[in-house]
Amino acid sequence: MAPRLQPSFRVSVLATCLADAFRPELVYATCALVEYGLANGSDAELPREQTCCGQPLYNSGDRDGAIAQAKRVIDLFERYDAIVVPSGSCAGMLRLHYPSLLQDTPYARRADAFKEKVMELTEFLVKKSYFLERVKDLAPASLANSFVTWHDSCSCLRENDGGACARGLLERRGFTVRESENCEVCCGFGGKFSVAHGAISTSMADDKLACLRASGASIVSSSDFGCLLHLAGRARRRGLELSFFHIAELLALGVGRALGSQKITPIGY
Amino acid sequence: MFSARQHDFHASSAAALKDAALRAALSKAGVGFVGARKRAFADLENSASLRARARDARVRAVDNMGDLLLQFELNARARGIEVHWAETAEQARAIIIELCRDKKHIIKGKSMVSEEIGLNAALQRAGANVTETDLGEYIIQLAKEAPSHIIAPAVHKNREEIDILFRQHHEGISEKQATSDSLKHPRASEVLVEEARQKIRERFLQAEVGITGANMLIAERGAALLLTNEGNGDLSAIMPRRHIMLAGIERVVADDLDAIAILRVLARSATGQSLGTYVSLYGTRASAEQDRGKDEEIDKNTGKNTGKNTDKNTDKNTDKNTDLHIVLLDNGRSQMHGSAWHDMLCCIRCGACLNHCPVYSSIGGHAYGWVYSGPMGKVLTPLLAEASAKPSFSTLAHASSFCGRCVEVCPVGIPLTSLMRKLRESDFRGFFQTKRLKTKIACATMRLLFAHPRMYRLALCCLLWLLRLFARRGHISYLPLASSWTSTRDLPINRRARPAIALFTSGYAFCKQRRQVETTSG
Repeated sequence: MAPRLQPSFRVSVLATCLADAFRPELVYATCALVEYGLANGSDAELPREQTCCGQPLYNSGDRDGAIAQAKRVIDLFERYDAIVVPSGSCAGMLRLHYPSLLQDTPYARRADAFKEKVMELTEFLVKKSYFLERVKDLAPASLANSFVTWHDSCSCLRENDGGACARGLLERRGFTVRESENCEVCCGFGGKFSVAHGAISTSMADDKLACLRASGASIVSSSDFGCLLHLAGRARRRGLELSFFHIAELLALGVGRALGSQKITPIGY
Repeated sequence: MFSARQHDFHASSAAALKDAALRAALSKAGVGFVGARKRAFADLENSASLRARARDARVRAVDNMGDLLLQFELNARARGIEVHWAETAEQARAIIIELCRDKKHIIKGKSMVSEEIGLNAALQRAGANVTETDLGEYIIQLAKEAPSHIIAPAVHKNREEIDILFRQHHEGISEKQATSDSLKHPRASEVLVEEARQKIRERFLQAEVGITGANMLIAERGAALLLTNEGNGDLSAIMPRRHIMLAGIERVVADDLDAIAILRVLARSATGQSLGTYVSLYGTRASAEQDRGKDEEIDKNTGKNTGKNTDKNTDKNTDKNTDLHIVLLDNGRSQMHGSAWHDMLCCIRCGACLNHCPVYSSIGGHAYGWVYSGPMGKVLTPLLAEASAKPSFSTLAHASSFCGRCVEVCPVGIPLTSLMRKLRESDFRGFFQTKRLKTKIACATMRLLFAHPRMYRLALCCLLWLLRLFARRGHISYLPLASSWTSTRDLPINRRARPAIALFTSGYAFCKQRRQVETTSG
């Protein structure tokens, strides 16, 4: 197990551009969870100069643009001891793709040091924080006793810990996890792909929704808001009775009075 | 970098998505292949090391491709094999047409390279009668279609379609008649297979030339290896007097042990078999004797035996005074060597990336526009098409969600997603392409905003305010300029209509302040 954080450590949250714009409650839930996990009363910092990790540029083929953005993100975040990202895809970008993007630049060594500090949220909560020790003190989440099915985002599965931490956390918070078939298959989001190839992307979403529904769960959760935006949007259009929540939202229900008292509605409602 | 004419992937994939029969066939086949591969590797304790060993073999082969090819040529010539070099598809066609001069009946084992160079059409133009003998290839030849999968060329066809096709061609009746017959008396798969077998058997007996592909060219041995399931490859090789093998130059491998390492993952990745039904080495009889000693050596080293039945084959060969020609095709491959796409030469054409690709499973192979489809096709097609002056396929690399499942299953560890991203990068640099203008404008805007966080915040606030105008009850169902999203999906929006990190205050800090106030007052 990775060494856990000392009380004096400063932790920042990279909100991710999608959540920043479309789902503030997810960003706040992430901050609340991180603070709860730090267990020392210190704040999770949310640097205001943050924008995006640069993945849209990288995947569009704009390598130079992506390099410039990687440098900015490192400049902004490397002063912290840990960078928590509520998205497997952005975490993968920071951890795996920055070092390869920056390998021939003066930032190469900084990128290597940087990647050690970056963690996807669920992995951070389990491996670096005191969340698991403290979780039993929390009131049960208001949606607990619901069946949740976990959507493994491709980047969580292939670039991070593979969803093991997330499943464990959900169960510790009182949810029952129902596995869906073909959970290793992509939902069709893929950022730019979902717009550039909307029809194929939608067809993939339908295949995925069929598996998710067959699991018998009423809630779909994932570590990647992008997948949820896409799946919830499709499910809503088809009138399917599934609720979509980011895992941070499910875990944070009841963490911190101000956040806990706010009613969090499913994505798209 | 790429030619101006574009393959219209959007149109072809849209058509494929609407084809219900295709979708049903694909989903059935996909499930079968994925499960079979999983079981085949689950049986092995050391599957990771097997794949690493196969990767080593391929990397060694591709890195030393030039030397190994010369070694192969030398050793193959010493065995009495004729080796021909073809730099382009046109040259390869000319060589083969020359070898088939005055021959009327030609049979073929399945060869993707022959599809790549459009061999059948060229031979037919030259007056020959060509019959495909692999069942899948036979079906698509009757249907006048291209293969939709590199190992299962007719995977897109269902039994009903095949029944109609067979009635039409075997009984010489019209399509309408065949359709109504088929509806009245549908036939089982076994019956169809048997009928095809009888038909193809007649062709084997007539054939004067057999053309097959090759899975590997073993440099040290100077012999070509062919892996098949139906036995048609071997019959194509043995029955006619002349056997022509057509292979891309990257098929070369160093020696028997490397070939075995690749064999151990090839069929497992492709169909989930531990080995293809027939593994044959082709040389000539003169050299069969000298191989015997070598085979014993292999038996000792690995406990495996791959070459025995081959020698029997070649025994028969010489009885009929046969000859073997191997045509080595470059067609753009040597340009890939040492370039950014070098790794793609390692591909062993197992098809695992196709079977596991959710995009391929949605649209099938034809939408990709050429012989190679799925993730490997997205990389290979634009590169090979560039060499052979086909339309540009640069759009293909953009049709990926980068889910990475292809990389996960590739038995030789080709970083397919990275290669696709590199293709996107070279496409992005192609400055005069109006097609990518939208992407370029989007990227330029992002660059500008990312460089100025305050401007980014302001733009985001404006955007959210604008979006609110289109929203009702937490989502947007129609948004101008974003119809590629909203035509099939609602867009969930931010109910607060301001970003998490707002223009002047962080919303989170605001929440926390309120929490403190509440706590102190309460």
